[in-house]
Amino acid sequence: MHRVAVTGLGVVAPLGDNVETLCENLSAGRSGIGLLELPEAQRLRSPIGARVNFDGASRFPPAQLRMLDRVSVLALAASDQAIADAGLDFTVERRDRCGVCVGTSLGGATTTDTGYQTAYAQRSDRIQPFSVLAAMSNAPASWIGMQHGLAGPNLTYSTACSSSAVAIGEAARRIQSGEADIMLAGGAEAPLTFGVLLGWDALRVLAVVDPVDPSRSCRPFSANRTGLVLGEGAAFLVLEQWEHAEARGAPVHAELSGYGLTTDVAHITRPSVQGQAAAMRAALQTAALEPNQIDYVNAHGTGTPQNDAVETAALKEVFGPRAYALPVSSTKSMHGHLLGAAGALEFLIAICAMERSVLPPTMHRDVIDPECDLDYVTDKARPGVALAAVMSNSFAFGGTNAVLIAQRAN
Amino acid sequence: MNTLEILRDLLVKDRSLTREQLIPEAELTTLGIDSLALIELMFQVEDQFGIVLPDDKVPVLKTLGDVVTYVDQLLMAVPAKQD
Repeated sequence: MHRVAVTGLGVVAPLGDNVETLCENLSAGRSGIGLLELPEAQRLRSPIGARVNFDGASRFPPAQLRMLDRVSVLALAASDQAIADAGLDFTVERRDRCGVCVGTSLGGATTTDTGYQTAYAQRSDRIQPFSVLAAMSNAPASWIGMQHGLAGPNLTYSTACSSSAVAIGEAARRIQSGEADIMLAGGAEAPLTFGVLLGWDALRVLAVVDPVDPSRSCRPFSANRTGLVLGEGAAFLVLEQWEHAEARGAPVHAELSGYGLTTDVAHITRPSVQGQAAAMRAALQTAALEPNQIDYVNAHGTGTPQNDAVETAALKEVFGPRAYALPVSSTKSMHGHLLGAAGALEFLIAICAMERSVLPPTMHRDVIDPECDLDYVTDKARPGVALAAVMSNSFAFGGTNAVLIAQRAN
Repeated sequence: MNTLEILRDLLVKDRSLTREQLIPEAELTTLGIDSLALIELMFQVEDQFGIVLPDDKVPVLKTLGDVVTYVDQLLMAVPAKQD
C-alpha cells in the first residue's frame, strides 16, 4: 500500500477564492452567508445562501463559457489552483497514471433550471444547444481531465452531502493500490438557483432567516438552530503517491491516512449514531490511529436540529470521555452547506487548521443545547494549537457516511 | 446586411475571431469551429434570421462559404417564423 501525500490545495468558496483568504476569514469568524439577490427571492421561506464572488467571464472565453455550467466553472478554477499549488507540470508526468475524482450532488443545476424555465415558464422550445453537456453530472470532472490531458480514471461520485469526501477517499484508494500516481480529487456545487432553493425550502430543512443579521442564520450545535444554509463553491486537493511527491521535491501539506465509509440503511434523511460512529471508527482503523490521537474534528455540523445532536452522540460513542476534550467545529456556520462540495472544502479546512495550528470556530452558537455538550470552539478561532491528526466528517441524505483523516506530514 | 456579414458579426462577437479571418474560403476547422460549435452557430442562425432549420441533419460544411450558401438556400426555402 502506498502512502498518500496531499501536495496541492485549491478553493473557490464563500469567504475566499483562494486558500489564504478563506483561512483568514474563517479565523476571523466572518460569515459568507447573506440574503440572495434573486428575482423570485420573496417566494422563498429562506432566501439566504452563501455565494462565491467569482465571475466565470473573467476567466473563460465566451465560446467555452457557454458550454460550462457554474459548477464546472468553479471546479476548473479550484482545481487549477490545486495544480499550481502542487507545482505540477503534467508534461513531464505519465498522464495515463493521473486521474480525476469529483463529488457533486446536483451537477449542472443552473443549466437544468434555466432549461426548464425556458420550456415550461416561457413555453419555448429554444433550449440552449449545450444544455445536456453543461448539466451532466460528470461535466466538471471531464473538463478538468480534458484541460490537463489526464487519461487515468475520471470518476464522478454523487452521494449527496458526502459526495466529495467519497471522491477524495476513493481517489486515495487508487493511489494506495498503485493504480495512479496523481489524482485530482474534490468537489463542486452550484445550487443557488430558484428551483433548487424551492425544493430545499419544501423539505423544511433550511434555516429561518435571522431577522437582525441574516449572516448569523446558520447556528450549528446551538439550541436555537433552525436548519442549514446552502452555499456554492469548489475545493480540490492534489493527492499523490508519497514516493512520487518526494522524488519531485513537492511540498507536502499532509498525509491522507484515513478513510471510512459506511451506509445507514434505515431512512432516507434521518441520520444514525451507529452509522456515523462506524464511519469514524473505519477511518481510524485505516489510519491505524487510536481515538485519542485525533486532535480536531471538522464536524458535518449542518445546523439542523437532528444532525447536530446525532453527530454529537456519535462522537461520544467513538471518542468516549475524551470527546469532551476534543475540539470539534462546524465551519458551515460561516461558509454554509456546499452539499456535494462540502466534504472537500471541510477536509481542506481541517488540513489548513493543522498546517497553521489554528482551530476554526463554530460561530453563532448563541444558546447552549444540553444534547450538544462538547468543545465546539465557540465564537473564536483558537490559535497556537499543535495538531498531529485531524478528522473531517461528511454525512448524507441517502445514508452514505464518509470520514477522512489527515496527519501532519513527516 | 448579407448572410456573410451577419455570420461574421456572430463569430467575431462569440469566438474571438477577426473579420479578416472570416473569408468565405476559410475552413471551419481552421477557425476552431468543430461539429459542436457548428450546432451552436446554427442555433444562433435560427434566432438571427427568424427561421427554423429543417429536421434533416446539417450537411457537411467545410468552409465559411459553405455555411453562407447553406443558410441562403434555407432562407429561400424556409418561411420566416411567424410571431
